[in-house]
Amino acid sequence: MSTADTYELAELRKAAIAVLSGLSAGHAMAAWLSGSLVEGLGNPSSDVDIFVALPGLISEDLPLTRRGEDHGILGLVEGGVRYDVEYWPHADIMNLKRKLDQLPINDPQRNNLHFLTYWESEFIHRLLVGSPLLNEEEFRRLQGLFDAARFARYLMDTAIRRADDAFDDAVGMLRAGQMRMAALRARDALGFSADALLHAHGVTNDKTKFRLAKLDRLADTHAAIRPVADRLWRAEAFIPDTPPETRAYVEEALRFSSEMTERAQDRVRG
Amino acid sequence: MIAWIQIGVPARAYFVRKRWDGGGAHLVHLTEIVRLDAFAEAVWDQLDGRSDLDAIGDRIATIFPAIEAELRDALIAHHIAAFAQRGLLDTGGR
Repeated sequence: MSTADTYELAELRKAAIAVLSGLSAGHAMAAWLSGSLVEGLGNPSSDVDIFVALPGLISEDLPLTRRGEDHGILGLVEGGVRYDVEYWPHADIMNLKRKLDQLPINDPQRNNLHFLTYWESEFIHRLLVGSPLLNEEEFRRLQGLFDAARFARYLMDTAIRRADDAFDDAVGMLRAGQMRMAALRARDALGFSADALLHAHGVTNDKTKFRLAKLDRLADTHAAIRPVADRLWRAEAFIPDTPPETRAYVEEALRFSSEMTERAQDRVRG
Repeated sequence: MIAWIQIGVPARAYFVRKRWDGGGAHLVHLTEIVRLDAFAEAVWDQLDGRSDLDAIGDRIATIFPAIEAELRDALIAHHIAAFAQRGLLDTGGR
């Protein structure tokens, strides 16, 4: 993180603490800042995400924009910036920790797709990459509850499932002469395989919109990823539109997808 | 053996994916699944469409140095023939 990024994070923290104090979150066990800005992936229009761990249940008096089964969200705008404040009861955080611990890994009989809900997955990632706002010691304890490697493995397995679906769709479409559909589905397979590769390197952010930025960042520390990132960009950016060229594109995309997925799997096979 | 002789520079078909689970590696072609032992997987990995059988043999020899050369070459031939017979190799369109 550069000096400018550090400065921006400090400013962000100051503004987030001001937002929190306006919400009388004094009874919070811990609070932390998270989201794309904290990860250095956002832009000036990005939302700011604040998480609050509560010792008990979410009070009915708490003004919420959305109330889920295990958490509540308050959306508000302050100084032209949109803040999402997520409240999570400690008991639900502990339930989620146990759920992740029970995740079956390396069990070919189990399909783990959707084992975690969108919100659960988001919560774990955003806790793992969060920056403390209130009660740093308690925040670190909560962070330590979640096995980041296990979570990344779950995300990798999920990405591979999606890649496999897209891969087989593309093969079937190509054989049926559905060239454009095959090309788009092969491109999907490429993206999911790239996600698998990222997760195999421990990346727990699963947002597709940041895929290229995450690959670029990974390439800064793993030189072998650079040609993968460049090749992916070329494949994502251009699909030829004459049948022979489209066929060649699909075949090449599926080979590249296989390469990335196998690299991801080889990395975790040990 | 015939298939092996016909395929001088064998290549994996684009429509086959290798996957790994806790039980080991396998090849998937739509609904068909072919389980691989360690030797078969090593052979599969060498079928890059650029390496001829000599080059494949040399690389397999470094991975399985304890296997005597004649047996090793026979096993490689056997596996490539089996892949070809199952339609898992590139034959220039399918």
